[in-house]
Amino acid sequence: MAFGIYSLLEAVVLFLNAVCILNEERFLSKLPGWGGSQVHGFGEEPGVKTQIFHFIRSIKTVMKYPLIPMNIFIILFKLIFG
Amino acid sequence: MDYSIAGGRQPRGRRVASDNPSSTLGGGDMQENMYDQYGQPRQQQAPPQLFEDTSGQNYDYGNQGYGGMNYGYPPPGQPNQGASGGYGAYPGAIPGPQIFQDPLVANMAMQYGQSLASQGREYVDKKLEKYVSMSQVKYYFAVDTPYVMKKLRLLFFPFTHSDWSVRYEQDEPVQPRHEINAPDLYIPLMAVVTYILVAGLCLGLQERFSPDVLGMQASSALVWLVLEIFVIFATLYVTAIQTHIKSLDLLAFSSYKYVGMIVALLAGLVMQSLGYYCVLAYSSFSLVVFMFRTLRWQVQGGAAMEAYSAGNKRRLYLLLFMSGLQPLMMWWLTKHLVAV
Repeated sequence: MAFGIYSLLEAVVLFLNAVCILNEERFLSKLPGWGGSQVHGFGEEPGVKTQIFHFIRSIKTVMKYPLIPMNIFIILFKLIFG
Repeated sequence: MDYSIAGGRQPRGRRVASDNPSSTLGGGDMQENMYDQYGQPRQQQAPPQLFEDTSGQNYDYGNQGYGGMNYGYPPPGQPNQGASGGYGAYPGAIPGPQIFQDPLVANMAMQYGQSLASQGREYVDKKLEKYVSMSQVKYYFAVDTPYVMKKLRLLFFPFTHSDWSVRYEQDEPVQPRHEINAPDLYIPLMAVVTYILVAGLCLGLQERFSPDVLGMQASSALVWLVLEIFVIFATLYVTAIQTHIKSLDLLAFSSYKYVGMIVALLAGLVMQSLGYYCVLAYSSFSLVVFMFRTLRWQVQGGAAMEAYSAGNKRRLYLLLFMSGLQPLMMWWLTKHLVAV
């Protein structure tokens, strides 16, 4: 039951870690549709896959460095308070 | 919010006024009174002149002077004291020119104070506006009692309501108090607070209460709400659906479920788990109907887009997902509170 705000923070950090750890060369580039920026016509809605790849790429770009202090903070917190 | 800042800043302007020497006149509080209402300069110019005339004919002007004073100042209690003090101390203090100067100084001080106040207000407004626009939030709290009653009725009996569209007026949605279908945040806010209190009551009746339980309930309710909204946002993003729904709308819609939860919990208090499950089933069913119908208008944008939109099926799935999530959340957030 004890799913408080701190747990949510932890969960978010773990999720972001999981996205950031996906390796560009070894894993993502082998997925079909990665990298190839498909040209879609005007007014055409982008597909689900495109959106997900876009999302992953954004997280990898933006969150790479902020995640380091966040992880350090959480690890220290765990070490001290259990 | 605006007023508090203005109130906080104004004394600075006023202190400058009282720092200058002529305020030892003894009419200090009277002057302050005068500058408070300095918005109409013509009327306020009159009292100092009245002073100057008085200095010549002190004797017979007294009565008239009081009359004039009372006329100039709306609150009758204070000016009387101020006026009598002023007359008494006047001959000993600095004469005419200083008094003539005084309103000017005070005027400048007043303007300085006002500019400070407005600067501070602008600053805070800008900072706040960055995160949440206050005018937008105010829209969600523009409710009145008939609206709340009707909305609650709609939440529990949405079956006969036929028109679910929100009216627009000059590209702005009509305020909730005039439009029953518009989302508001008043009911959700009250419902969340009440839910936490009712949860405390339930736990107390089962001898499981301790003060920190309330905080835990609040925290976990908040977290589940955030998670739900986040999931819906992620779905909206991934499926690339364009809707009219604003984020605050989403917050409002996804926290109407607390109303049903409160009723289910109260039923659980009265009739144990049987009553709880019956009421929960009914209220979640009516909430699903309510959500589905309201959101169908919001997501699909009325009937206009239905004809040629390609992502119609996606929209339908999104609707089913959003309204199907509600009973699950209602059950999940209340099941541990009911006596087995």
